[in-house]
Amino acid sequence: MNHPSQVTLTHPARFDHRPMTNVARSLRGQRAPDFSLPSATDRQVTLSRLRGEPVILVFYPADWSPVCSDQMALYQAVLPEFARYGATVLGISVDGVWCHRAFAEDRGISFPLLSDFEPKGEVARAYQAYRLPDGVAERALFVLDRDGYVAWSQLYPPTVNPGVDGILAALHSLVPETQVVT
Amino acid sequence: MTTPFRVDTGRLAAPVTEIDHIRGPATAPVTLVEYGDYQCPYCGMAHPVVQELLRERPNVVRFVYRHFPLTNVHPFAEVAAETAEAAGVRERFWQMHDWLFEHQDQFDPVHLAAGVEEVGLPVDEVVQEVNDHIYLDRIRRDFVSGARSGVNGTPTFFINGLRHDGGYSLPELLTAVDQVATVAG
Repeated sequence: MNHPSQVTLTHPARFDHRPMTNVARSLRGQRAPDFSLPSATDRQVTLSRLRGEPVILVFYPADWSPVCSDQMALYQAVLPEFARYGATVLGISVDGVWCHRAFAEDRGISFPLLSDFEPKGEVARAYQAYRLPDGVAERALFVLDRDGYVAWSQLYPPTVNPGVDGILAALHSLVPETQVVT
Repeated sequence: MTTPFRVDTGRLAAPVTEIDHIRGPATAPVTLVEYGDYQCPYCGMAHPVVQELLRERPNVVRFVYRHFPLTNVHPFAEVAAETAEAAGVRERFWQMHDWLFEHQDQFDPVHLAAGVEEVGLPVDEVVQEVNDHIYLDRIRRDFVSGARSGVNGTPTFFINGLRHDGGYSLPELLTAVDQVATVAG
């Protein structure tokens, strides 16, 4: 759903057009900081356990916000394509696990939404993707290679739905490398 | 370590070919491509705008429609797209396309079958083909080409291969199309 006018009307005013701290890109080529975050009250996802396949980290400001909803619905629809590259998608925001659950159920999202809730935004900070003074994750994408290094990353304004072309191109660029290694 | 690369965002990754659904003259200087979802209300709003645009610029614009169904939020979008494809192999794509956008609240099986009949298609055959998902590959191909082109929601328009990031009211689309036509012409 593309509804630019509605987004600008209803989006919280704090998600303005201030320049972003575009340091997320500086993580490219670095080892991705490890983390363990809850995806549900009784379930944790640990990044380092996902080695061996590409991982897509999707930091986003808030469940339910119009842009985030569209972005997550899109990623859900593109899951089969991500699967072709053997890639795992993880959504990360500072929302709590119950909020994530309601959001995922409402939008038909089946990939894990991780709760960077306590200490608040700690993982987002580690990825230089924490937005102050708003206290939310930036809208930032990271594609990790199978060894857990940041192959590609990009920060977007909170009001922009980044789509998936950047992610798909990054995953594609990892394929020859993967073949060489194996 | 992987070298960073440039992302060429907002460019049509799959060029328009004869297998596309095309409305308007092949000689038109402007090609407008829409990635759409039949159940998306914003696509429904854009539909009469595109029709009017084609009426007002008959020799300037040719229109291409590609499927981008977001089935997790629009459960009937895929069935609708498959129905349009079934109509397409019977040379009735645009009639079905128009019916779908004009009846977005009637995608339940009973109403959809009535629509198929109204368009003049054999209902049983079409229902069978839709149930067998024989057009799903093509719809998926459209979808993936859109994802690779930077489609981030529906509708997304491309004008001569470049994503149109502005609005899609008639004046906005006319301006965008006329600008490209001036350059292309």
